[in-house]
Amino acid sequence: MASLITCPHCGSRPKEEFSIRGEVRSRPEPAAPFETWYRYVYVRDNPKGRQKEYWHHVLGCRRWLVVERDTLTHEVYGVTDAAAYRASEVKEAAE
Amino acid sequence: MNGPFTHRHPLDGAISANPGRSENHVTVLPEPMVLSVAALPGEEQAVAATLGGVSATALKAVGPGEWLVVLEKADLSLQRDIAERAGALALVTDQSSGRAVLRLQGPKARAILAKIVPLDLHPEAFAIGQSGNTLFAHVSANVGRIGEDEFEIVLMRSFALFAFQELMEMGLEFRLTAGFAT
Ligand SMILES: [Zn+2]
Repeated sequence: MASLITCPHCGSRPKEEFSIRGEVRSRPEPAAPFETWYRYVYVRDNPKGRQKEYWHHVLGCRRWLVVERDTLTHEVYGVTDAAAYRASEVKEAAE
Repeated sequence: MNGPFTHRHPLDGAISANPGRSENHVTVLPEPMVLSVAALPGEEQAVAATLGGVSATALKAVGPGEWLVVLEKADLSLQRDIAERAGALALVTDQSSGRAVLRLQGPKARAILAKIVPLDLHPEAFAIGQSGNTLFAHVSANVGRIGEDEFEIVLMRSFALFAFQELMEMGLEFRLTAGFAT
């Protein structure tokens, strides 16, 4: 486990301050086919390597973050506030 | 059972009546004022500007757009001022009866606190006026530096006894004493 996470609001904090929600995925449209929803709810890639995950800074600022890390080497590549991440995702999709 | 509400501090009974005082000491505030200020979405900067009248050590950072205003005693005019200036842009709630405030001071304050919180307490990383929510032993607390050798710890009332006992145990080797502020 990556043991130090640099929260964009609080700075460097130990992993014990966070709760991990799992892989970041985009929510399908409400009318998306059953198979799409099924994959969204139940199926995970679980890669051995780089992955983006939702982390909640429960004992700190209580913000949801997107942590990109390597599940094998524990290296952390970046931490973003989830709201900012979502906004950039929406902006990218619109362009 | 009916009766008038009587204020009871969560550490009543946990501190001896004649505690004595070594150079490392925990001062427990008997009736602090704790206000929570949470900005509405998009109003974070505007709310921060209205809190300019609060001293740097009394204004605690909680998260983006969220603060605690912590004072030794109730200050109704400041409370009214904050409610008037920030009221339309933020949720301002009085948390005084739900929180406990401890002040740890002395030459070994940093060494004692370093055993309990994961923060980097070096003055360059954590200067006077800086604060944040963090892990305190096993519970959540807001920890701020209010002096060179003085820290203020703001906890949920129900965590107060546990946190206090933990703090006193970590301070044993430095003869840490505790008492209510008088
Ligand atoms: Zn944080």
